[in-house]
Amino acid sequence: MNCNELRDRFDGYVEGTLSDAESAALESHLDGCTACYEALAGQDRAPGATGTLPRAVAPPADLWPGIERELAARKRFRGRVALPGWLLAAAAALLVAVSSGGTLLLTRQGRSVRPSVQVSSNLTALESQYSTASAELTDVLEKARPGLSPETVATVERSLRIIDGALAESREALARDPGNAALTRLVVAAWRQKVDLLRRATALGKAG
Amino acid sequence: MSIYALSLDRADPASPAAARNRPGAAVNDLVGRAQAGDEDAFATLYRTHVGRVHALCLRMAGDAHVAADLTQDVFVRAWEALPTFRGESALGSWLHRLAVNVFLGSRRSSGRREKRVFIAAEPGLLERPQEGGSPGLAMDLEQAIAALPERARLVFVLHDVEGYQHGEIAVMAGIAAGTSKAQLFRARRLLREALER
Repeated sequence: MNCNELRDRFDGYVEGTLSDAESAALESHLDGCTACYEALAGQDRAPGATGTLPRAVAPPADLWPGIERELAARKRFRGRVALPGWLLAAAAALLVAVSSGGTLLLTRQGRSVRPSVQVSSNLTALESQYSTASAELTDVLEKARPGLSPETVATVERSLRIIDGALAESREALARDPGNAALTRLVVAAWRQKVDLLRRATALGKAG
Repeated sequence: MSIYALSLDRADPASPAAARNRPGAAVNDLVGRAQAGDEDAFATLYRTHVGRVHALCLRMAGDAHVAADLTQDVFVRAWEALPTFRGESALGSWLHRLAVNVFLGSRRSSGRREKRVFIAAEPGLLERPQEGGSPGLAMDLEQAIAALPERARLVFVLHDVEGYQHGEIAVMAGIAAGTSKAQLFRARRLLREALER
């Protein structure tokens, strides 16, 4: 699709009358054509009232009691099933790890594919960054070690062993099933946990 | 410098007295307590941020009941993911991104058909608009946003209301940046037509 065709057909796109193939071609053209983007931006500005929309809208009822019940239910469930600590930590990290770690890296690279594919295809680069950060933090922690209590050192070392074990297991599983996006996320989550633990431990050392 | 050097610097505490006097120290203290498992601290964070999170959910979903469920889900997940929050962005930004993920996840998992319930039918949902704004105009626009096709609505809300860039929207929504741009202009034109009627 060229620029003239895009501008001729944009009304059809707005009305939803283009075929899927025509819509995809229009979107693809707009991705790379600054002239068309600016032309449309000139025609179709945000409604003036957009800036007057309230930033906050109170929910119809207080949601906290429901949230509190859900948190309590999840605590009871965890108590019954006794999941390994590293798995719970990895699960907690997963949501943010994918959106923050993977997305940040990929946004900088200007890629635009589905998050699971992005994380998978950039795992090597992410692991390299985590590995570098982990090594740097470990050096800092070694220097701070004299200022930490023996109990803290033991706790940090025990936690690191657990996370390293989880990381190794996840990586082995991923090696057996390289296309598995969930395993990819678990690897990322384990790295995140490790770096986060090291960062907190080094902060403790500095505070002491 | 590694990507974590900056976070290390931020984590490096100054003297306790100086830390207490820093702007935002009270918020950081609340976040720290919530990360350590203090539900009262988390409840305070909830009350601070629930309006913004709910507004985003309401506009993305275009449905008041779905928005309430989404908002609740966002805070439950936030509680679970809070130990991983490193303070590199404001908590509000982190919650907003989480809300977008929760919304998109709910659409993918449920395959729900779009519902178009005009939120203006429940005027009590709207707090006072910003000073100088026109309540009538804002209400009309809220109705028009709720009536947009789902994808156009999502892109409009994220770009024009929340300030995300097309690249960020593309990554979050799993669409091409060109799709985000095209849907934005589609949304704006449909809104203009709706408001001129």
